[in-house]
Amino acid sequence: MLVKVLFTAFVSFLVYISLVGSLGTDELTIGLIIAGIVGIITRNLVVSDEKKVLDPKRWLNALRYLALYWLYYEPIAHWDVIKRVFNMDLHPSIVRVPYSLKSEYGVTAVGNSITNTPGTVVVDVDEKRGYYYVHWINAPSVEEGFCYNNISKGFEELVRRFL
Amino acid sequence: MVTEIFLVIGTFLVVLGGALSIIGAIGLLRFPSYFVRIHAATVSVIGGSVVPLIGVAFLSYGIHGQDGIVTSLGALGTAAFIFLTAPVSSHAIARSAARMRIPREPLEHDHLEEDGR
Repeated sequence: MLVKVLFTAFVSFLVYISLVGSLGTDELTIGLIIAGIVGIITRNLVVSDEKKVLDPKRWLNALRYLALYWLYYEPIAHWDVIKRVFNMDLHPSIVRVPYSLKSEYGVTAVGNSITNTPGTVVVDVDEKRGYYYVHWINAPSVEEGFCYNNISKGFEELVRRFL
Repeated sequence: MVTEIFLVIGTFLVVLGGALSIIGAIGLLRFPSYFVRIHAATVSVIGGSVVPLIGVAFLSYGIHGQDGIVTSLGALGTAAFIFLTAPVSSHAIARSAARMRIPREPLEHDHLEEDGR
């Protein structure tokens, strides 16, 4: 429980400091008190499994996800949509994309990753059957395996290692 | 030397972000329907605001050195917030548009319709 409180308090303190933008004693004291209160109240909402917080491998994997996401997936997706803005080569479809993640954080992270890359937007989620419904700007095939391989496989494998 | 590299990276990212904003705006005007336009909007949001904010973080440190760290952290924090919250609004408007039966044409396949959602 202590880990949960400390981690939540630490995150809210970081947010507070970056928004306040000063390191004076008053600000630090108020920040620590409020971060502590926030940590105690919201610990179970923010942290679901404290073992995962303490695992440095997961943090490294999260960094790996961020690096790959920004240096590989985003540039490719942006370039693809930029080309389509000018040549208007559009083949949009709403396709089913299966997912096999269990945790809510994981499903949200993959959904956000899909939406944040231009060209794919999650329109709806079927949590019972484990499907994202994705609006894809260029769908060469609507077969589930093909969509999974081209839209969410990379994100899912990266996210699975840290959430 | 380091500050010059930061300046170059920062300037590049800010200019790139400006270009992506313009391209996203052109896409919003040219694309034919609501759902396709969301993709152009994503280019504007991610490429046009998160990327230049990261550039601002580099620039602030490159120009002001130690004094610029607070601005850098603020810019990085804002970029992270946009990165985390932009898809939430995208999901919300896309889902509500699907529920409201806003015309989806041109659309080649529609699994959402097939599954009756």
